[in-house]
Amino acid sequence: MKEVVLEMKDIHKSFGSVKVLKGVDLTLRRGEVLGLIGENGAGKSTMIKILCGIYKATSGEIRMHGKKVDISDAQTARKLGISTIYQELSVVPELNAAQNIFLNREQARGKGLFAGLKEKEMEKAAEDILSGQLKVQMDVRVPLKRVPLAQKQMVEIARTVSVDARIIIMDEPTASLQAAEREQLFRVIGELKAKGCSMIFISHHLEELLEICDTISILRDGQKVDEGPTAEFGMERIISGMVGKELKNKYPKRKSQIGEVLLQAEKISDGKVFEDISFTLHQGEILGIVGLEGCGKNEVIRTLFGERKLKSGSIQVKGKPYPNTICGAMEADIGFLPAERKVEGLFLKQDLAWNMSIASLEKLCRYRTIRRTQENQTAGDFIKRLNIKCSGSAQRIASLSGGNQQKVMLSRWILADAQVLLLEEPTRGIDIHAKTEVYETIGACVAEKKGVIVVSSEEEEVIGICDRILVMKHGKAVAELEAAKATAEEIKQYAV
Amino acid sequence: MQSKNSVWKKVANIDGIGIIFVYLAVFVSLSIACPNFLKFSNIMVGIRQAVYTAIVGFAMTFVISLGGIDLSVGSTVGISGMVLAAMILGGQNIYLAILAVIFLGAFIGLINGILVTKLRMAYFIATLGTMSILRGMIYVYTKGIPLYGLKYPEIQFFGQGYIGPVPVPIIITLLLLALSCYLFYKTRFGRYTVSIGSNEDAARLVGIHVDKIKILVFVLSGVFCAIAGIILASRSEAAVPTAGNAYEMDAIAATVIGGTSMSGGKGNMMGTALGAILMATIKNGLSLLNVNTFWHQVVIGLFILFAVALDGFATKRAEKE
Repeated sequence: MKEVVLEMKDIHKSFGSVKVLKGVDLTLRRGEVLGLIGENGAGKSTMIKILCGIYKATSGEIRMHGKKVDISDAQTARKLGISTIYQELSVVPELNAAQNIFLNREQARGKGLFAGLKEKEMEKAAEDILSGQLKVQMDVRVPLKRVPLAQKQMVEIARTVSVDARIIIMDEPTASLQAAEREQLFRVIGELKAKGCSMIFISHHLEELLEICDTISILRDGQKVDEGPTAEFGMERIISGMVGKELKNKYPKRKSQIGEVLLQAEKISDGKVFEDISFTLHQGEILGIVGLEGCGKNEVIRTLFGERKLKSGSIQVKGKPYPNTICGAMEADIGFLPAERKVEGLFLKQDLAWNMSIASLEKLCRYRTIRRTQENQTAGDFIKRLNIKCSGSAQRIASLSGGNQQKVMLSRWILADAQVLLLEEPTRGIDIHAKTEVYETIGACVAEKKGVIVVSSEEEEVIGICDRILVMKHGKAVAELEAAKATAEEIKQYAV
Repeated sequence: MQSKNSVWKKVANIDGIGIIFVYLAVFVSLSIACPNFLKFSNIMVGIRQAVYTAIVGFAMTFVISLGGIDLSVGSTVGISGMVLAAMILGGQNIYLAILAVIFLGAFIGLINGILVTKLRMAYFIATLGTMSILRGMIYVYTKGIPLYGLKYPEIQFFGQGYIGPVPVPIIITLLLLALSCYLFYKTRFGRYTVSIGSNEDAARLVGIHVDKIKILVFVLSGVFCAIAGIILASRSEAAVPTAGNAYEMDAIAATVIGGTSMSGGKGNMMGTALGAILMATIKNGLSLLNVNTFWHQVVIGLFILFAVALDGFATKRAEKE
């Protein structure tokens, strides 16, 4: 057995009266990849945040190399060699890759804050890490606001590689990566292991965990319920550990009753990213749009929602065209869920009720005054109906788990009475159980004769929940498939 | 023990709790230090001094919650008083003049709003520009000489009148406070204002007319400043070219002391009112204690830092818990 680098013993954490962690132990050895598994609210994020010094444990102790440490803030964690790659990227969009990688560790001519920076050397070093070690081709001089999400994440990984961290925590690192980039990441993880780094890996893709991890720890309701070498685990054992019972249907069965035409897009183009796309959405139908990143799938639904300008072609809801603006789309009963919840969807400083009612305040007003009691009641109804885990409608949305935040986002549009729901990556970064609940909610929507368009980068998900699938490539529609007969391989063939 | 803890936590979680404690501490210590402080007439003097900061502060609370800043408020107060005086001294109907000044305030707000929305200028820069332009126009028109002689009872009423024992400016301020609270907490306008300050992209994606709300907030700011300008001119029976100078700083101070977040998305209207009163109370107390007026600024500055530090400390603790 290799030496133990990190030990977390009997960690307890409470938020007010809610006990989130009830005595969790965790052991990490040198060169080991530990898969930390658990559902929304099982306590994985809290564990990680305690380790990074963001939260303080209510009780329990942390030992590194056998010595007790007090991780009181993020700075201390960094000094101890603990680095984290978060699901929400923390790169500075205005700076380029090299500047981001060396952020706060800039190489300069001399010491002190006012010494001149060695831009050239840093660019070269960044290039070494990115193209040398990670085999990622990108211009390190381009500000990150102009590169795609996947590359931003590569920069973040490169940053961790460059600080020579001994314990690297990866929170859903693959959520937005394409298959090839994922392979790349796994290769890098292998190299880091060989160098003696230890990693804690959090992911909702169980296949991935089985592939990459050496040991697995499963949390449920703030307790560790199972643990052992990955070789002893199979999918069944992980899932039953997480859920506490065998999860049979990841994709809930539903009877689709296809009704009348709800939305019709004819030869729509935006003049930039996509052209000549036509499709029809019926009542009670879920249409999936898939394709590689940059194929224009997100732009298509954003155009339907009036966020992007339509250059040519026509869009009609129930046979009537509507103005190509967000308000026009909303008047036509269209709702839109953006992929990056925290950036474009949620009002993080506000509470749950605020976030839920924001698109339909008119309905909650009487004499132009917002009725708070009514608002809280409505929020309470949705909390029960969609099984949202929270302390009540006044809880701050930022403190909810990803899955529960997504349920709030869905409630927002159900409350606004949207008939056409446009969902962009609706289950990104949320765990299996919550995913199934999101699918169930979508299912309930189509049962009420709403129509849903799902844009997703997970083929399996699209096959699982959709009726029809539109495959896009380079801004054009290349195939329309029956979901019941389609396979992931078939979709790949069209998309790549 | 448990219950005691949770009571404390609840108290610590009240928005702007810092300022309430600071105010109580100041009030109690001043009452002990100077016997004249608690006299009704003195309290009225204190509150009366707070009127302008409070009215402009209410407007500033909207603007800051929106994620913006309005530096032109002081100049708007000044030019409103000037136009009022010029019209009345020129023989115009007094009520017509008041109406015209309020429209002028709205118009200035409209310009600010258009600059920050349609022309995409930064709030700080746009309002810095209008602040300078308006103040310059005052000096150009008055040539630096005050317009004296607003000695008409109808206009004196706003700054000097009483309804029962209560001065009219205080009544106007309370009415504006009630209106502000209603708009801020109870209407879609207030909801949307704070939502834009919290996350502008998300606000746009739920169909909020972001530009329209921003413009309306600046129009409201302009109108409130015009009202403050009318009261100020009425009180001094003249339009002084420097009237309203540095009001933007007092208003921002009151807003921030009151617990409104400078980064937007969080506002506290009652806090702003308290902040304005606190600043006036400190000045009043220091005068009664015969402290040199030059020191007032220093003490006010210390209080700003203290109140904000206290609030920040409480928020940090609450987040860590």
